[in-house]
Formats: sequence, structure tokens, C-alpha cells
Amino acid sequence: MSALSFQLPRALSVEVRKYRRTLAFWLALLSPLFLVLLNFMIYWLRETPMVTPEENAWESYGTMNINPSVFLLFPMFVTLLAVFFFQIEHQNHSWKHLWVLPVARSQQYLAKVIILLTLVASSLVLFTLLIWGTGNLLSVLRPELGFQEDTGMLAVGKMILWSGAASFALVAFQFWFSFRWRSILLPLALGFAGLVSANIIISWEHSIWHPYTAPMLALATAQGGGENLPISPIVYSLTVGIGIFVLAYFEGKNRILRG
Amino acid sequence: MYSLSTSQLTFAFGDHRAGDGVSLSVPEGGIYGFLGPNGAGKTTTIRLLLGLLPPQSGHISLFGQPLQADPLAAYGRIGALIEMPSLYNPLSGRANLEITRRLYGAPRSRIDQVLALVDMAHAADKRVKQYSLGMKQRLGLANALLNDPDMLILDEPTNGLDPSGIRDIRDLLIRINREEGKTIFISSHLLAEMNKLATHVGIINQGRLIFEGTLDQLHSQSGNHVLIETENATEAKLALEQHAFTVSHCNGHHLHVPVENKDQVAHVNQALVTKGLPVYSLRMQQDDLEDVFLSLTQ
Repeated sequence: MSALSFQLPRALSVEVRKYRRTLAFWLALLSPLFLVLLNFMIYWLRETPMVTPEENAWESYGTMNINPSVFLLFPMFVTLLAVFFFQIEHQNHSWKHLWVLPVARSQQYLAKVIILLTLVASSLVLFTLLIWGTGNLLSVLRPELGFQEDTGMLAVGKMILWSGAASFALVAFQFWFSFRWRSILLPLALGFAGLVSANIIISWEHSIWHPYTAPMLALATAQGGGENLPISPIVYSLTVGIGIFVLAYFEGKNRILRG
Repeated sequence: MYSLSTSQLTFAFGDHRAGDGVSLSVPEGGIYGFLGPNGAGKTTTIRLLLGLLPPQSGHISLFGQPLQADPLAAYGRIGALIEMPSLYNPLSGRANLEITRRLYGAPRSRIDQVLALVDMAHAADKRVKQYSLGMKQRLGLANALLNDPDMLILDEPTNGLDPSGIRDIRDLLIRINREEGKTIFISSHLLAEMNKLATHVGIINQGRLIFEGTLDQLHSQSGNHVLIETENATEAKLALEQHAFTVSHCNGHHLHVPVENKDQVAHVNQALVTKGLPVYSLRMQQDDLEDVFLSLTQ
């Protein structure tokens, strides 16, 4: 156990070194900017105010950013991120080299799980900060929208935190697909199939059992809906996600050496 | 004392036996050339030796210990280069070495040592995608040497290199073996290359180890053959086969016939002349290593 506990920091430091300034790194950094800047421009430049007098500006702005993210952009982001994340190993034929180094394969795998989750979490934190920052900027640029009256960021933060936590299973599935297949097409196809099918069945009473719906249902719960769910989407997603991360290791660790 | 030995190692992909009871012994301090035609089972055997494939039966022993007992301890004492070198192309040579160094827990100073050893210090800060294949192979070797291993396991490290690149790698491996005292296990399908490099040879064909010994022992397997020039090699072949000779090669006007002594050469000549076939030349030769290799693998 003590030997293993020394190996994880080593494996983590290598992963950090490896992913600095890669496509996966820039994707995690730039993706939140895309949506928030787009909404910021609309709120700033549109002549007819985007917020009606009876609305809370922060909740309106938060929902405008979070809804398209949870229902479309975030699952696409996770799918692409996982593909880019593993292509660095697949393209450079690295697995056979990594797997014969004196660091347990499980520790190297765990380091990859931690780094990918960190990239996703960092992206969500950045998303939250960008909403907060641009909201404050709007309070100066368009004071009539009402951003200065009530921050409302707690509600926004709760929506992002809940849907983010409920995306654990989605991240785990896309991690598995991108880990086990050298091809980028299969993980992309499965990611998009998961996203489309989740959107189609979201209003069905059993939709919670489709892991890709969990962030959407968690968002609904954070917004005050989501009654009558048989299980919390966050608990379900975390449980399934942990199971998938474990399964992916045992299923994929030898498979990735082929070819 | 053997750095590496296996006993009855067996592995099959479906019906195809890529390793069929392979028992080999790599002596400490030697250069073991693992020879075989393409598809003979060399890469599969190397993957088994490194624990990248689980054997269906048999045992692997590294430095006297079963590999499965403590694979991480074994990995700490070997350096491996399997097929193409595993390098991160967007990173520099030095950054690639730093990644492996951290995983080995080797001292930082080791990077400059291995760069000097493989003569790559001048290109260390260039991105790997700018390297030639020969440079990549040398950097791959530097990667494998970072932990100052007792043994190197190399899978066809000269594949795809031009003659000068092949010579560079050969000279480097000889230097690593003699000056650094590393045992080297190297697979190749290039017999001439192993003849210049190896001290010991194992020959694998269709998953089975068909020869193992020193290079001198391999040479001693060579016999004689008679090289015949005649009008029609096909007719001559039929005539000789009627006299219980085996024709090893038959091409246009030329035939190779393995013989044991000069009396048999005379007998060959007589058989052809009796059949009315003209013999333009007839020369007895000792088999070279290629003939030995071909006779073992065909």
C-alpha cells in the first residue's frame, strides 16, 4: 500500500506534464468562454432588454447559459474532451511503453481518471466564474437589466454544481469509450447517440435510468422541478460512474495494447 | 546465470499458435538475437516476456524470479523498446525523457547521461515530430535506458532504418553491451544484422523455438551444397530426385543440391550426364548462415 501511495503522485505529475497546453487542455479552457461570451453579447447589445421587469436578471442570465450547456454543449464537450484526452496515448502508441514501467497500471489509470475529472471540474468552475464576471460587467454596461440589485449567483452556482455532479456517469462512459477504442469515430458516435437519445426520452417517466439524462434531471431539480424521481440523479450518476470507471479499467487495460 | 528464461511458453490467437512451447534462456551479459521470419511469433513472445500478454501456459523468469511474482520489481530492472518507439510527438526529446524519468523515479541527472550515451544531446530540445526515424529509435533507446536497467528488451529496433541508421543502432547496442554491461535481448528478421551483433541466437518459426545456442553453434550447423548450372533446371531436378537427391533451390538454369561429401558431387554429375542433360558448371560450396536459417525455417 505504501509503495502504491508513492506511485500515484508520480503518475499524476506525469499526467499534468503531458497534458499542459494540449488540445484537451485548451478545449477545457475555451469551451465555457464560447457560450458565455455569446450570451453576454446578446444581453449587452440587444436593444429590447433580455430581462423582463418581473424576472431576476441573474437567474435569467444563468438559465440562458446553463440550459443550452446541459442539454447540448456540455455532453458534446465531454465527448470531445475524452477523445482528445486519450488520443495523445493512442496516436503515439504509448500504452505498451507505460504498461512496462515500474508504476502499477491501476495507478496510472487512476491518475488519468483524476486528471480528466479535474479538467471537467475546472471547466465548470471557469464557466461559473465567467457567468459571474460577465453578469457584473452587464450591471455596469446595461444597468437597466437589474444585475446590480440581487446577485442571484447562489441559484446559478447550485444549478451548475448539481448538473455538473450528475454528469459523473456521462464522463465515465465517454472516458471508457475513448480509452478502449483507438478510433475517434466510435466514442464520438456513442457520445452523440447518448446525447440525442437523452434529449428524446427526457420527458418519459423512466428517463432517469439513461445515465446521459442525469445532468438534465439534476438541473430540473435545482430549478425546483424534478418531482417524483425514484432516485436522486446525482446519487444515480455517481454510483453508475464509479462502476463504469472500475469496469473500464479491467475491460480496457489489455485491449488498448492491440494494434 | 540467465537474465531471462522461459519454459514451455504458449499463446494462441484463436487457432493460430503464435507461441508454441517456447523455452529460451538469455545469458547474463550477452546479446541474444531472437530471429525469425515475419509473423513467426517474435513480437508475441516479447509481449509475453513483458507481461503485456498473459501466457496460456508456461513460465517466465526474470533475474531468477517468476515475472508474475513481482512484475513491478522486474520492470524496474529492464528497459524495453517494442516495435515503434512510444514517444509524444508534440513534446521535445527532453520532455519525453522527463515523463519516463518521473515514472521510474530516476534522478534528474540521468537524462543528460542517456542523451549523451545515445548521442542525442544536440537534438534534445527539438520536438520529436521533427526527428528522423533513426533519431526516434535512439531516443526510444534513451527512454529504455533511463532507469539504468540490467537488461534491454528490444523488438526490431532497426525496422525501417536505412543502412547507415542500422549501423548506428548496431554500434550503439554493442557499446551499451560492452561499456555499460547491459544484457540485450533483441528480435530481428535480419540474419546478417544478428551475425554482426549477437553472441547468442534463438530462432523461432511458426511459434516454435527451433534453434538456440551461440552464434558459433549456429555456424557449425552449416553443411555443403553443390551449385549446378545446366540447360534445364526443372528437368535436372526431376532427374536428381529420381536418384534420391533433394533440390533446395531450382531457378532457370541453376540448382542447389545439399550434399555431404565429394562422392555425392560425382554422383550428382553422373546422374545428370546419364540422363543426357548438359552440365555447364558444378561447384561445391559451404552453406552460409542464410542457408542454415532457411533450412531451419522452411
